[in-house]
Amino acid sequence: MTARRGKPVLLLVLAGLALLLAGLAGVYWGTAELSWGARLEALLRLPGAERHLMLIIWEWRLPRVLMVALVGAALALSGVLMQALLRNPLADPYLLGLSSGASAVATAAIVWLPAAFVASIGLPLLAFAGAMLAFLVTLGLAFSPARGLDRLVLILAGIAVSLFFQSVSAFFLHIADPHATRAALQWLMGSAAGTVWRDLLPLAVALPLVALVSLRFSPMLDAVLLGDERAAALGVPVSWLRSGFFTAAALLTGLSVAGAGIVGFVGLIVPHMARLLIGATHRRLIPLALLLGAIVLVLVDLLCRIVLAPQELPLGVLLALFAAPPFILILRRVRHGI
Amino acid sequence: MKTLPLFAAAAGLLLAATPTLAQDRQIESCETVSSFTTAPSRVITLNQQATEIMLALGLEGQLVGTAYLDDAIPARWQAAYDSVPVLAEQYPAREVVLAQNPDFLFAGFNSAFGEKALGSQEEWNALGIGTYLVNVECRNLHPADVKLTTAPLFTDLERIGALFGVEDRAAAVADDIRSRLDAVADADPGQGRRAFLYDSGTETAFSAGCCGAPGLLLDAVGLTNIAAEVEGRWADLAWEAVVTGAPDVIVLVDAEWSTAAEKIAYLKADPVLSELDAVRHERFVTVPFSATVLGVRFIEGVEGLGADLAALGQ
Repeated sequence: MTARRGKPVLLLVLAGLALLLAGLAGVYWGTAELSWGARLEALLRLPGAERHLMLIIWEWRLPRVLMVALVGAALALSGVLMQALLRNPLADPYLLGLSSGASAVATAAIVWLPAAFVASIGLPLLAFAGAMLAFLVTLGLAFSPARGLDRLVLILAGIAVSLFFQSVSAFFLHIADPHATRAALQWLMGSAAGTVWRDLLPLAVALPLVALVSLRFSPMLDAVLLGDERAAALGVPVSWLRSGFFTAAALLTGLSVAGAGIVGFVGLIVPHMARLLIGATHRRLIPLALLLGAIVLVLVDLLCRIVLAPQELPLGVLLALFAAPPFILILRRVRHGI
Repeated sequence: MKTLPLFAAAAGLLLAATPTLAQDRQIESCETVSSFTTAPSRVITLNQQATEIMLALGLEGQLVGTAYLDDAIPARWQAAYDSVPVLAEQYPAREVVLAQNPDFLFAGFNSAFGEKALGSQEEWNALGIGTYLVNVECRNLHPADVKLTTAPLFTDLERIGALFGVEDRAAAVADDIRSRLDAVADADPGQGRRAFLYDSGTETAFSAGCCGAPGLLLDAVGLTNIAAEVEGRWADLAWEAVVTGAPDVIVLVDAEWSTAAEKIAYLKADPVLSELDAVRHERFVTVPFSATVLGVRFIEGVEGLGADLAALGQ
């Protein structure tokens, strides 16, 4: 029994160390070819460091690495919550139409609105508003006063809302000048390039809060996995729990979209990776999923910066490549019944 | 009795002459060849550089439609341009093109003959409608890793001039461009300074690659492209590469969709980019988007950039 209890702790410590190493690697390597000595000096802010290297590392790489780590962790946590509350292993934070809502508003803003106006409000804020709008429409469609939130209807409503907003995006991409669509496409494929320190604040506040609340309610999340009736019999306020955590997941997803554009697959794949390693008990699953999500995205972002240097790849390109094999594995497991 | 063989001989001559007549005028474009018996008279141009080649050669009378401008038509051609109907703001639908009963389609970007626009040149040729794509856009002739020269522009002028029988006019336009290019090259306003061409983008910098017209523009004024090693016509540079490239001067592309003022504001607001020498000393020069396209107005971009660089001093 002690061995079984020791293993999760060890896993979490290892994952924490791995995240630290991945983060250091993300700060240390990048698009620019710098000499080893100069990099070390700049990283440690030694007096002899070249000023522009120090600026690259401290003003560009560090906020960027922290941003992808936060986004990865936030999407992984949303994935864990969604998969538990919907009892659907293929549930994903974007299932509720959030990503297509954000995409539609962002594309419309890039293509349609005056650039000065978009710059003053900020594309992230507009994207966040789009995500929340789509989420509210989905909730509105799925909620009925008599029956509360039906999880099947919610999935269907999410699909309907996604399809609607996708066609809005497609419309704006079609009418747009090709020069303008380049910016929109880059955003749709996800990228944390251009992150500055103050962009980190919303996720840095929201993520720890949601993570702590989720951990506090983890026994209830475990109970929901048994089915709504049984959970209710165990005293879990299922409808409240579902509404509350959906809102929390939507908030995290919306903030992630605002931070790094549309980053797919992390919310779907990472919770499964974590479950394979540590089991489905949420008290252990949530911390590991948070760490793994951060590690995966920090590493993928690093690869995006160095594969084609001095050109840069959007996150979506490599993520899809790495996500396909585990996704097939999950499909097979689902088919055989988990 | 004597007339019959004469008729036969005349008929034979006519039969023999018809194929040679059909081969009278040909124009080669990328991998296609279009043949005409007479000069095309119902021409549709797509993209600004194609339209401007026609206007520069005084061929507006042969145009039945134009489409897709990137910026304004120069004042000297405005009246001629206005005399031709504009079919669409961007690429017209295939039906709209065919409804004009054109005999020749002349395009400035290869996207015009892409599946999402008009469809391939071969499809139009099969309908008996000739096509020409400006030589620089033929991907089979100009791979992304071979440095571009101004030769494709002169090929266009020569071929279009020959097709419409205005060789003299075409030669005059070509000679004018050649001598003006030489004059700028001799003055060497760039003096080998390192330049970063900034077209658009904030997450990454859309810039000139090694081997396209934007790179050629920098070469033509004697600047050294910081992304000269990057394959392609354009390059999506990571900002870190711009900083380590340490440009002496920044060439801003001014376009409706991304103005020079917006880009200067972005460069000055970024904590790292604002520390670049070129930004701190405001060594910015601006070129219109049309200067990054190898057409008849490329030379204006080269001269304008040259003059701005000379004014910038050392």
